[in-house]
Amino acid sequence: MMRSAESAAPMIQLENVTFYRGTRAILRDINLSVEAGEMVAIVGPNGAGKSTLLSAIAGDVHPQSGTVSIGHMPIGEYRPRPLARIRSVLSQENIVTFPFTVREVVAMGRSPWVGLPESDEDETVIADSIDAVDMRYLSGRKFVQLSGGERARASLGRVLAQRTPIVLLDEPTAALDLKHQETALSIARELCAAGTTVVVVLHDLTLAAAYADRIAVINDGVMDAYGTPDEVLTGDLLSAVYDIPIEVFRHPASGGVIVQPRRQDRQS
Amino acid sequence: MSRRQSRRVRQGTVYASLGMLLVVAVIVSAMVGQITISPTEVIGTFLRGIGIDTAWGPQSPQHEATLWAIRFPRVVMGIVVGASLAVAGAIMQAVFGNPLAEPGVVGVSSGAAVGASVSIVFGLTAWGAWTTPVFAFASALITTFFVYYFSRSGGKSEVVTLLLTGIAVNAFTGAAVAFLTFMGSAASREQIIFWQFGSLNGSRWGQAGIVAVGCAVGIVGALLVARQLDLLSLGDNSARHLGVDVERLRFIGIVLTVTLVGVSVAFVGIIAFVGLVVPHMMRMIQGPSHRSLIISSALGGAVLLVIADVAARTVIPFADLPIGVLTSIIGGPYFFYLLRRARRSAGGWA
Repeated sequence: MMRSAESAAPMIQLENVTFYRGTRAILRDINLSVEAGEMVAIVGPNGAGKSTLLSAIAGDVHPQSGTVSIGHMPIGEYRPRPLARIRSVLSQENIVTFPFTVREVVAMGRSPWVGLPESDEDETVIADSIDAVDMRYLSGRKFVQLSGGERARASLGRVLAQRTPIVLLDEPTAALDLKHQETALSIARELCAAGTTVVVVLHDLTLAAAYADRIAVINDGVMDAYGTPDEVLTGDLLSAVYDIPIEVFRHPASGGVIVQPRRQDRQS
Repeated sequence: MSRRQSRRVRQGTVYASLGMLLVVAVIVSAMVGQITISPTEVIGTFLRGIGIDTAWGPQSPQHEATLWAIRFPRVVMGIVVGASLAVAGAIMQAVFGNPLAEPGVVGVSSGAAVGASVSIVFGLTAWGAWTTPVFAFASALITTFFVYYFSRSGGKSEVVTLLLTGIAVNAFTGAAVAFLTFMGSAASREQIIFWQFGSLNGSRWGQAGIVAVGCAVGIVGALLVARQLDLLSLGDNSARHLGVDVERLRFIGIVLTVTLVGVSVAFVGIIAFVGLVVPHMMRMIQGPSHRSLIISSALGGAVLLVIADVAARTVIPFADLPIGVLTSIIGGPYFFYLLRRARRSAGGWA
């Protein structure tokens, strides 16, 4: 696929990133580069370092060695507010301490733009973001009164309202029903179509195959594979990474990749 | 845009109602005492004092002197202390990410009392009239940072940790004040004991002025960071993702809290629960957004303390009940109520 000249340099670039927590290496020698308009899924077993990798890209954790650059600049050189205009982050845990309404929470996504010309569009952006995550009928509800899935959607709305060229999502589909899982990732896909770079941590490999341009497989802090879904999602590789026999096959009609553990026959 | 307008109207109504309540409370407070003065005379005397002569002027020099030398400074002290404590509570709750955080409960007020006691017992006057406030401020600052670092983990403070830290800090500062009381002369003992109850009795213009300065600095500072305080309720990480320099904001928040509480405590003693009750009620009335919460808490705190002061002077005839006793009698049960609710809604103690 051809890229335009302005996005010649990757939007996200990690070079030899190594991160220790205490004496334990969480990330080891990670290299990753993501182009503008690309959607990359990070997959891997529990505790592999997926969320930590996302935190490193977000600038929340500081690797002991290696460099993280986003938007063509080392992440450490950004002040907090300009950084918030480059990348938005959806965390796994979505808490709101005080009784803010859904609309107020989504509106918080506009705060990096306060005092800038972009803030003229606040009302429209907030309304669009609420509609995108299908939360209009709950926009006056207090965030703390929502279910887990509704909280995740409201928080995704907040991330969308931030309107950043890089969007980082940590398990955005974990608490969602099937319809809203598809909605969430379709939204991510639409963002990519408009030039946004999306990095998303996912557990569901079938979802990752359906939506991501490329997939990074993390296992025990090391990147075992990085490539298109067809290159990466093979039975052999996944079986080794997840330590369980895994089958990869194609949907008879759509040709989409389906990943599933090999299960015992329950008949008899 | 109509949404924004209707929100403005609602907020304006809240501010106006609180403002009117405050005016009424102030007039009532200036009326009652050993000699009762009529409301029109109170207004007339005030207007004459600021250079406007009306038909309602003071009826005797004695009345005029009573109002200007005793009652007005006391009322002003009530206003600024009430506003300071309520705003301090609102800031502290945002900084700790916990609606139960309150200067009195976590021990900041008693921390301030230690410094103030030291300056009184040892008769320190290095900075003149400001010596006691400076000491109160310094020890409140140390106490607050201690509580803060001790009770936070992972971006929020658990209720249990916060309260246990408060118990430990209050126990320690209580012992320190008791020791200083034991060491001090009879006069300084009386002064220290007077604080622990908290009272607006004997407030003077100079003192009210100093508290007013602290109050103004605290409120203006809080308004400047109000929007960022909103973001803090999303937790540390999400606030950072939205461009907040979280550590810096926390530091500012703590310094503002200590400015507000430390200076108040230095002159009127420990008046607990104002910072808990007022912001909570304001959140119920007009939502948790900090810009409006800070303004309405300042007004609400002033109203509450002026009314509480009227009650303190009239509940027991011919005696000035310490106002701190009164606020704790009312605030304590309210705290229990909030605690029960927090436990139920969080499904545990988190």
